[in-house]
Amino acid sequence: MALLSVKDVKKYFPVARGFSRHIVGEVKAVDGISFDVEAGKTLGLVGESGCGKTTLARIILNLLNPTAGKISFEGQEITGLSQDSMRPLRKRLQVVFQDPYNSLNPRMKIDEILSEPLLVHGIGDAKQRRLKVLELLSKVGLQADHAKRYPHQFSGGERQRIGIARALATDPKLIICDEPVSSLDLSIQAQILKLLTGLQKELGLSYLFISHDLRVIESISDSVLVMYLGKAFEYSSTDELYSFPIHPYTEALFSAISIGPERKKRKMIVKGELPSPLSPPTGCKFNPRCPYAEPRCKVEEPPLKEVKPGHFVACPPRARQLVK
Amino acid sequence: MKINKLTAVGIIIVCVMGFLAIFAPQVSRYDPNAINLEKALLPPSHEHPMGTDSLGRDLFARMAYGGRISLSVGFVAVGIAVLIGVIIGSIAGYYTGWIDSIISRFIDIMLCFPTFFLMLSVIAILGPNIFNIMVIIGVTNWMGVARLIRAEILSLREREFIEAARATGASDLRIITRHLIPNALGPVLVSATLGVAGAILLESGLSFLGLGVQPPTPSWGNILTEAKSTLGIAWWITVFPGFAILITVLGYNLLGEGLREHFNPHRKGQ
Repeated sequence: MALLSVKDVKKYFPVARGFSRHIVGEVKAVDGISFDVEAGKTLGLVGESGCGKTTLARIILNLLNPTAGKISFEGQEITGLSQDSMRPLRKRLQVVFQDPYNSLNPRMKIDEILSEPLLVHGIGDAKQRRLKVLELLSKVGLQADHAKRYPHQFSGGERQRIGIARALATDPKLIICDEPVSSLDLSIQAQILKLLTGLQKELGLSYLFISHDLRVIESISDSVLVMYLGKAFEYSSTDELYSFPIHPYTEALFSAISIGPERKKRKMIVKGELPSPLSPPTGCKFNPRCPYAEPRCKVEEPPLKEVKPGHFVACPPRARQLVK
Repeated sequence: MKINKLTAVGIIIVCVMGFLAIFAPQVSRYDPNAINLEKALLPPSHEHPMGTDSLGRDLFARMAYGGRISLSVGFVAVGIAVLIGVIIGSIAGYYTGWIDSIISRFIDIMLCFPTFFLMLSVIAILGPNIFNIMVIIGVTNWMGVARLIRAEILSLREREFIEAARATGASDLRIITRHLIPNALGPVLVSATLGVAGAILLESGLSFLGLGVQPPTPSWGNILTEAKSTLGIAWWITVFPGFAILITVLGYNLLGEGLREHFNPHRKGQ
């Protein structure tokens, strides 16, 4: 059984306009996403800004209620759980945020930040908590004397280490990493990714790793889900996806960063802008920008289909090409 | 931290006034309530640095003890106002929605009352004593603090560290008291400092009207009242308390402005 199972989750935000705040439409931030995260594995979630990655993360953390769909963690359904009944689960389901300048309370010392999860869950007495804080600091490569400092005395990379240490405080099973390295320098990114993979081996953690950067995803994920405007476009193991990307959007992403099989081939340039999520295109949401678009792509929204064992793609034209 | 000159003046005034009030028994040679009619209405001299009043009481002693009353009314009243304002404002800012609407409208209603007349009527009913004055000034002046806190918390609650605390499972009470309020207190400190000046003025005004601190307990306001009848022959009884009020209010305002400048986000990192 999967550690985390997300089934057909949808989140529509109503859009209100004018003085009377009447509803004029809805933004489909997440529109029917399903995936599993196995124990000890990492699922990478990749997509452009605004495609619903963070909304999905907040739904999984039960900070936001989904419009529809089911999420279970360790076999227990968590959608619609009250904050009180959710609390015991939060020990094993943690999160690391994108912006290390924003995710630490500027008025709390590091030891206060790190011992807060222990306090909230009533773990240990004062002495045990102090020891745990020191253990956490050494686990993420910081020194014991950092405990009495404030967040503004640290660099971005060090702060992100503190964020990771906070997530580790309650010995979680799954950590949702919401773009944990996107705001860091390239060299620091590598250090943090190394830290995360090391911790995964040491503690048997699972990650749901959200990023817009395919290179980062490649280095850490076992499988990858590609999202576009709230929809899943492609889902497979990392090796498979990076050797044989099928969906035109995935191809375009690879070609933009010059890795994967597209590297030596012609550049595939995607036409146009990311459409407004307020008025998305009909049919396949990628069709206005897609070089393979057919007339029916404008009408029918293709479902995610298994075209090879373990490789799911939501693009019938490319799937047909593959069969030929 | 760089302090500009005006702020430094404010700090000095606040400290000197505080010192005189706290050490009133040590700095004054006379009992503030000791009547000596033979020495009534003496002008300032070496023996009585601020002169004596119409009952022969040493004015300097009365000023020092009166400072105790005036300053403690200022601090306690502002303390009450900040406490009420922080609680109500943080509830409105954190829960938003209809709770916020109700609280915000209630604040608007409170702001519509002419505070001074509200205070006068309440004191007329409850009776004028120092405790009532403190409470009444406090409960009629919390709205500014509440609005400040609400606005700060509305913007803070979207920050990621609040999200992180929620994801940890922290309770609402914990998020408000440990994460939101400590980060929202800067502007409140400024408004509280300015509020102390306002409260001292209010207390003096009420005492001047005879609805504040009751004689013989000295306060700067009621020394002024008593000075009215002898204004033509004894200038010193009016000038010193009036000047003390002026200087103290000025001091707290300068300090408040300095703090406001210090917390101004545009100056950060300079």
